Amino acid sequence: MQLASSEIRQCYRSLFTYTYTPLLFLLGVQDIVYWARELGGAKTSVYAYAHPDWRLYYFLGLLVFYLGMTKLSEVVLTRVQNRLSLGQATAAGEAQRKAAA
Amino acid sequence: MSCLQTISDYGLRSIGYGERILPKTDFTLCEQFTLIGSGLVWNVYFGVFALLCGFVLANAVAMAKASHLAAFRKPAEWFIFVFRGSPLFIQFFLAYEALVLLPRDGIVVFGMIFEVSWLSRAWAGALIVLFLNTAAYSAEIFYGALRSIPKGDLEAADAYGISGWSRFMRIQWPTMMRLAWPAYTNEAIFLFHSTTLVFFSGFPAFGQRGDALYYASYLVDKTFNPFIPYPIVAFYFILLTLALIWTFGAINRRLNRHLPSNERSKIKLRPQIIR
Repeated sequence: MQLASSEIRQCYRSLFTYTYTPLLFLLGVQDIVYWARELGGAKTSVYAYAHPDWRLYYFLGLLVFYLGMTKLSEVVLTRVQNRLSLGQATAAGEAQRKAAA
Repeated sequence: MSCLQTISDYGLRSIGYGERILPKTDFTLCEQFTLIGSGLVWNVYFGVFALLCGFVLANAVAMAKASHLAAFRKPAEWFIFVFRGSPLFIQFFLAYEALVLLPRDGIVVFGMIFEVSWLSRAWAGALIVLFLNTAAYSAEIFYGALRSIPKGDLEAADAYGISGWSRFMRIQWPTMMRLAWPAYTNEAIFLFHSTTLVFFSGFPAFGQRGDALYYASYLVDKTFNPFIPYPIVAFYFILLTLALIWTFGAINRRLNRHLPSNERSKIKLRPQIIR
């Protein structure tokens, strides 16, 4: 008899559950066992390098760098923006005219 | 296994219904389309809710930034600066690192215990980050539109004696929306695209319940073939973008319905590659 792969999987699963029901399943911690079996026991953490986790400091450094770049471009672009709205018949141009007068 | 069976097994896999074990070998195209499509539920969830909440906050922040009072203007400027000035990837990472520091037993306020552990889950934590991020970008768009309201409109309002809240609601806000809408459409599109970053930096996908890109990278890991799952993601996102452009275009037509047809602004796609 030819079994579909889902049926085979179903059979394996019921076989596994009924023959080797781990204690944790009975205690109601089914999900832990389930995902541990799924993902493989050794891979407990996403992060696996020889050195400690430097990501936080790395990203904080990057954050400071990007904020600095943004500040720089904001200063330049605000100057451009003010220059461009000078004398325009818009709310910004009107505000500049009133501030100057 | 028929394709309909696959869809009923994996169609809602990303939100925890159907089969729990992901397929591991012999991936069919149907399985790939179904799994990635089920992940798209999360992209739509993040995008829609961040956009709706962000729209409200963006209006408030744009108003605050245009205010004469420094007490309103300065916080708005800083908020926009911080969220526009840092990559979204880093925002997700730092938000997750900060949210997992919250006490696991909840915070006790006046004898009541408030559960806070849900904040470090992607559905809440990433949504907050996306909400603040899109609020900052949209606020700057709205602020720019507020600055370019025609002087004549405001003078006409003054001439009619319309002032204060009713001037804002009847003159400024509709014009602001009309001017900002094409740029805001782009912001909405990029927001939906950036929802794919959620499970790539910090926020873990519990029980392998991830978004479209999460399942695509799972399939790439298993098949070693990036040329099928990633184009499927692209296909879904093109569909999503088309739907967005259609929706926002309809709103744009409604906002511009009083103008003669040669003055209406059309919505164009201007890609913003890095955010």
